[in-house]
Amino acid sequence: MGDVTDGDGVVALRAGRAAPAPLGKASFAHDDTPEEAGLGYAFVGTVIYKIL
Amino acid sequence: MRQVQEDGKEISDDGEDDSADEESEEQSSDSVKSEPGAFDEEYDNLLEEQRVPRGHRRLATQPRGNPCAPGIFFEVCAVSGRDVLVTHIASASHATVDTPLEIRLWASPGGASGKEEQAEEWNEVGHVMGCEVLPRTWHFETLSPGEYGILPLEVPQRVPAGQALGLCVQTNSSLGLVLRALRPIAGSGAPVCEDQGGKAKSKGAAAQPSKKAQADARAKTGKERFAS
Repeated sequence: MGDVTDGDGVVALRAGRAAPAPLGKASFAHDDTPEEAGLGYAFVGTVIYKIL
Repeated sequence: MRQVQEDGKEISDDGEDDSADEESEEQSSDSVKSEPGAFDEEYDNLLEEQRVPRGHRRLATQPRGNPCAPGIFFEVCAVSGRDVLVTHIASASHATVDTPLEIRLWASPGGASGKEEQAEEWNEVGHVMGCEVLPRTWHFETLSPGEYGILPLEVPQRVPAGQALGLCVQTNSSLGLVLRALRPIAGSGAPVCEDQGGKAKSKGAAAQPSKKAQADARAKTGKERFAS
């Protein structure tokens, strides 16, 4: 669910969970799982990488 | 989804060359190609003109949707049989963020799934602060890949072939990071926030968890990590 693969199939992004707690306010992550919420959340933006 | 190759061309996920449609980006990439020097020497160019450093590629996701959250967990997978080195990510925040953002990046080799509440599994790999770190965007506002705000990994992360790298972006604002909600699982009965690239249909399960879920998670882990 929510996977994104680049045109060459080198890198794929896999969606995950939101991190609901702002820094320093609560725990690292206390979210419903995608299965519980019926939803997943995908990163929006770009990933810059280098092939080794 | 588009990608910048080493030769300066940016391609979409259907394999078509988008460079003809985006002259400015093509010029930018050509400039990168013509510039000598190692990655560090080109870092300023990356920040100032949103270029991709020489020898690097850029994977762009679909545009943002409606939701925002303080952060997100996701995974970068090396699926081609070759190791990759993740050096930067880039994203955006919501238009109404009214405080300077503090953003921390965390990485966990092997992936993120199942580690969201296990702080010991994560290593801090980046820390950025400032008012203009991320561009501020409205719901469903589309940015070109080069318009996202750069978040460098101070410790670039190697992803071995066939493996995954878990990444966590965490900000100090509930509107700190834009997200894209995915389609609900069939039969879940959960409300739909948005569909892929579409418009919001209804309110419901957003980034914030229910109090019961938080309580359950606390009970499960027994402690709150990263508490102030």
